Amino acid sequence: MYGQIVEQVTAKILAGDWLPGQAIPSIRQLAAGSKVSVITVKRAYLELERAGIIVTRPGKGSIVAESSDLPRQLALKDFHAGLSAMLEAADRLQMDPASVFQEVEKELLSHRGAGLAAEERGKTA
Amino acid sequence: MTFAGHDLQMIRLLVVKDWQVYQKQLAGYLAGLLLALSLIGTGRTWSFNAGGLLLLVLLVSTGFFAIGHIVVNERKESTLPFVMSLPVTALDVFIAKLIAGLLIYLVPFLVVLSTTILLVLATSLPDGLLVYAMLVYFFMFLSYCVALCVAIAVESEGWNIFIQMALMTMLSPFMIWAGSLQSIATNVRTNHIVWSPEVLSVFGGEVLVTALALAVTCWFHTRKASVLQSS
Amino acid sequence: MTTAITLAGVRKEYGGFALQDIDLELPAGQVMGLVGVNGAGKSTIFRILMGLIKPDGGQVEVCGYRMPQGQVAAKREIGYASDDMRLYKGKSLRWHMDLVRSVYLDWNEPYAAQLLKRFDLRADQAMGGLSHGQRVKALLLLSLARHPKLLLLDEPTTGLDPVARGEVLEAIAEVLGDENRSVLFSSHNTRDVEQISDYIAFLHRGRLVAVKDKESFLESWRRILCQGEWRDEIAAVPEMVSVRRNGSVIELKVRSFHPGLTARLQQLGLAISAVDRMDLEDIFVTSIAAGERQ
Repeated sequence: MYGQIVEQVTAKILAGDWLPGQAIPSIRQLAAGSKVSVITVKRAYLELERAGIIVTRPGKGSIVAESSDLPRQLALKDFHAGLSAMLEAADRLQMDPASVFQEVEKELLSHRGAGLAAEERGKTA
Repeated sequence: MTFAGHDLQMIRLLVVKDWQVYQKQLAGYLAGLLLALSLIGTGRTWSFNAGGLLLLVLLVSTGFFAIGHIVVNERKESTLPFVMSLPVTALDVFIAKLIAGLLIYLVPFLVVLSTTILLVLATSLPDGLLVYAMLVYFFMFLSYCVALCVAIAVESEGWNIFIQMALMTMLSPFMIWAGSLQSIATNVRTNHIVWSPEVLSVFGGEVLVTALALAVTCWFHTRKASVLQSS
Repeated sequence: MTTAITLAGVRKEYGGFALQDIDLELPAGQVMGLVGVNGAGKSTIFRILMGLIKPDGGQVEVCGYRMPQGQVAAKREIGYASDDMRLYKGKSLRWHMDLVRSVYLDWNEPYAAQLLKRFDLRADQAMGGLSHGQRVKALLLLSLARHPKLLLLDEPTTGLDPVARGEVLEAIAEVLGDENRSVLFSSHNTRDVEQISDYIAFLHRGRLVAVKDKESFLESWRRILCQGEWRDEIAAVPEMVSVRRNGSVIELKVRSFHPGLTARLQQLGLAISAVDRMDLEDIFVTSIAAGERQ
């Protein structure tokens, strides 16, 4: 459930509703407003802080991080989330690091290849 | 304001609440009772008998109504949890019930009583009737008090109906017995109002039984409440 | 930190039912969801908290008052609504509002008017003609409009249609905005509990099976899907609560989950294909089923 709050806040920031440096609702305000428990919002804010999206100053509430490149940071966060999901799956499959690298390389090449092919098609059209 | 640990303001509020909830129906009963009295007051034999019967039936029904609604229905209709959610103790709720129960019956009862006195003294009805009427009225008040106390103390609906029926069936034997008392029998058709020792001792008995019923119920509830309160 | 509710070693026995050794603490400003099947003892806990019944043993403190002795003072701070509570049929909601208003000094008329509008209720309508949902909302209005410090709500969303349920949850959630106000509510709808509570208390057959903050409670359970040969050692893993086998596919449900557990299962020869979080409903049903088997 806290994932929904994380998404909700990042969406607001990406859309420019909440600007860097601007104060965002307090945990209790957001909880009351979105009918979600305080503890859930607290956890979402912690997650957002860890990702560098918001900054919480004790006793003063939270603001949107004054980052020059927020969209990039958000994308980076997505990337890291995907990466750890991949590693967890690899763990379940009991893959050794070498075969993980191999798979990543293979995927990277075919992804690049597809990208290059698309570029080619773009040029000829 | 509190008195001996009781919140008088809350008790008053609960009594007023019961009064407001049932005032409309009560007004209906009162209108019926006044009609019966006016029938008695015409002085003709047939209307005196019809009015007398109507009066007795309506007084008994008023009692049934008051007990059924303010005591039994509060439990049956689950409004008691609402009352208990207010800042009150169980004992204060009990006191309020007792006062409301007496008040709601006493209002029509006292109207009937005073109208009867006026009627007997002001019309051609024999004044000796007054003593007999008072004995019967107080017997009805006694029956009501006993039934009210039982209803407050006992939750079983079956027992409550049984007690009310039993008290009601005792009314007509009492009327016959009271009518056969010597000072009543000799004076009821005359204009002499005679409070003989015989009549006064019956009155005394009635008052005693009423007081006893109220005292036993109060004692019972104080004990029940102290069990809840003590730690 | 002050506590809104403290129950210590509370016992109550009557007619074949027994509430046993209830230890429960609700810090001020928190929302606690009391979960349990019908007859688990949820309503008994509420009645004890209101001072309506006296426990056979143990100590009860509500809003700083010992119960049941301090019930009058405590009830001034509590807003209580239960499933078995009714209002006077022949009287209007307005009459009830005036009654409550005359008892509590902190009645807030503008907020009451706002709640009336939001709940789509008419103040002049007699209570007898109301639907179940309207009745629940009317009771809630009478409690909420005086801003009680503690809300005790016994099954507030039971039997409500989705729209009314949403309205009720929204009104309860408003209380979350104030850090001095606390809520204890029971429900057998685990979704409501999952949504708005900070703490979860799990009651089964008169006993508290678990009391925990919601996030770590949900976090501690996992559903693990794996494949491999069955061995009895798998069921003997202490965290194991439920095991279901379907051919070579094995579905495990565990509590007190930790990353070391997957390694342990792999050691037992299982290939793990998925590790998922569980929702409260799933946890609830799983633990009750496991409890029944024991």
